[in-house]
Amino acid sequence: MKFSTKPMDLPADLIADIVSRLPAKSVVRFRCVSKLWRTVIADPSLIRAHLNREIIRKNPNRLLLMYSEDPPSVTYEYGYSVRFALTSPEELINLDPAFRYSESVNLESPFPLFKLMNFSHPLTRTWFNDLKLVGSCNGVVCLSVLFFFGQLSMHPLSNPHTNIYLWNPSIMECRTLPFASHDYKKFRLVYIAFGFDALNEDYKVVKIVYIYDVEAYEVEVYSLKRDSWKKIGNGSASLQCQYMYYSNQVVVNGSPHWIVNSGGEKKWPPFIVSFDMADEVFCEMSLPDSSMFFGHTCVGLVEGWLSVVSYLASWKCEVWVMKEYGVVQSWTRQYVIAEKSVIYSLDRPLGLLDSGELLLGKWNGGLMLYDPKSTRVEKFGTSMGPFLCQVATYMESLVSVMPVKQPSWMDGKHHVKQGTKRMKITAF
Amino acid sequence: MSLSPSTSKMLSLKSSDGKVLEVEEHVAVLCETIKSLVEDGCADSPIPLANVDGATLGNVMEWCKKHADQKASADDLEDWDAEFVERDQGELYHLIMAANYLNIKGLLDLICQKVADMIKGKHPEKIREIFNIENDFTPEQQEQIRKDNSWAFE
Repeated sequence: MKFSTKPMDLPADLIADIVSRLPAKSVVRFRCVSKLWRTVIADPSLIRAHLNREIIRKNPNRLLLMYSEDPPSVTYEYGYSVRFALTSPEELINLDPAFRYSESVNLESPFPLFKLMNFSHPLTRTWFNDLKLVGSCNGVVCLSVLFFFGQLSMHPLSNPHTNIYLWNPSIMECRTLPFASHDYKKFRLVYIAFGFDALNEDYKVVKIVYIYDVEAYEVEVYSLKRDSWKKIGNGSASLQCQYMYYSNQVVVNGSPHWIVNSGGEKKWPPFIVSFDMADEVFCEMSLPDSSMFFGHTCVGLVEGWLSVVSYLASWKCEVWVMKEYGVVQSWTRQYVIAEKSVIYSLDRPLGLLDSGELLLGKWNGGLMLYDPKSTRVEKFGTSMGPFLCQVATYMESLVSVMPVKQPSWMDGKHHVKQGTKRMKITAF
Repeated sequence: MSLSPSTSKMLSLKSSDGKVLEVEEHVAVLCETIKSLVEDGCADSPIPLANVDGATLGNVMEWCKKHADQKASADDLEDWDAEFVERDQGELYHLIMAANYLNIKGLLDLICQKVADMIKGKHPEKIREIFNIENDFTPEQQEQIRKDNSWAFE
């Protein structure tokens, strides 16, 4: 028996309700069921409903891994190949160690340029000198690629050709951001952050640079809705520092948060800075009792709480969580890790598994799983790679990073943005 | 107005095919549509439900009765629901339309999730067959959409 006996009698709102419960890949497939289905799937309210379900579901906790199979020495001189894999912490543990990475879902590389150069995907090889998984929010991933063109004798972040991408792997959309005004000047890259402006339902990238000619810092914000950059001043004095680019970020309530290790006027202690994507202002926050901090610190998310990992001079490391967002007094010490092998390589906490174990990123690539109860440590990919592993927590979404595109058969007077092509890439 | 089981009176509901069903008021008011009629004092005569046939109304009220039962535990309801949705596609279709018309959020959620699980990962041809949808794209449009989204079909 057929589900429906008359054609087209399931109303659009019921189709939307059903579709909002489907995995992104199925939704993309169903774009070609009929015109009604296609219209329903393109509707912003469906994209929102689908996203809300994913946020509520929260499970499985997906991880986006970016990693290389080349050792770092190859990386430096010849560029490196990157792979992206979408997986979950549970899958990582349960897989045979030898196949841990190859058996997770391999995502098609978001870089069409590399495909044009006949590099097969997902293993792509190219000549960029630095690739950073900037961050991930609502299924949209921000990547930055720096090309140095043999200027490595200079400050490494001086005048890099910077490509920034917004990529939604669940629906295979990738967008190259246009250049900001400072890209045409002599500058030093300070930081790139990515987040979500819930007020305007807009995804934004903030870029801090130092302009050599005028000897001043500059902050520009890119809005996906406007598809353009806007200068918003020079940031606060404490942000004006050199060594920030490699600080990782984590998105809390849409705002990216990262650690500034040595601010311009404020040399010590380190602090957390966030960027409010709606008001477009920087906010600063104290770290937990930071008199004990020693060396590298990083931010993470543990059960949705903002967390930091602090390294103590006594070869211990602590994981702190901020139980009430924005309230410095609510910083709570969650774990103390005394395992030397962990401390030597720990980068950042990535999340708590249902089992209570803590997933940690290693600064030199790979992952570790730490069980606070048994203090057992399990490591992934230590000797054979992967290298340069960067990880972001990830959820599926239908959020589009492309300009509004109206198929010719659709009714209505939607404005089609000119001048942006799908998968546009800037040649250089 | 108290809608507790102890004071609940009976309501009669009349289906599209003329069948009259006597249902306890505290059960029937799980349907928001009926609840507003009761609250407005318009529920005296048999309530005509022009969009719901007798068999479907029976199924809907069976669900409402189970969910109005205050003794049922969450686990119990979950198991019961899982069994409740084991039906053929025709019945599911009538249930989804009825749940929508009668505005029963819990039942609508249940059936929509069941249908989503049913169609997940299927090919568009199969979806058209299940929902009896006419393919209104031209072959060129169809080809273009397939091309643009080819990765989703691998």
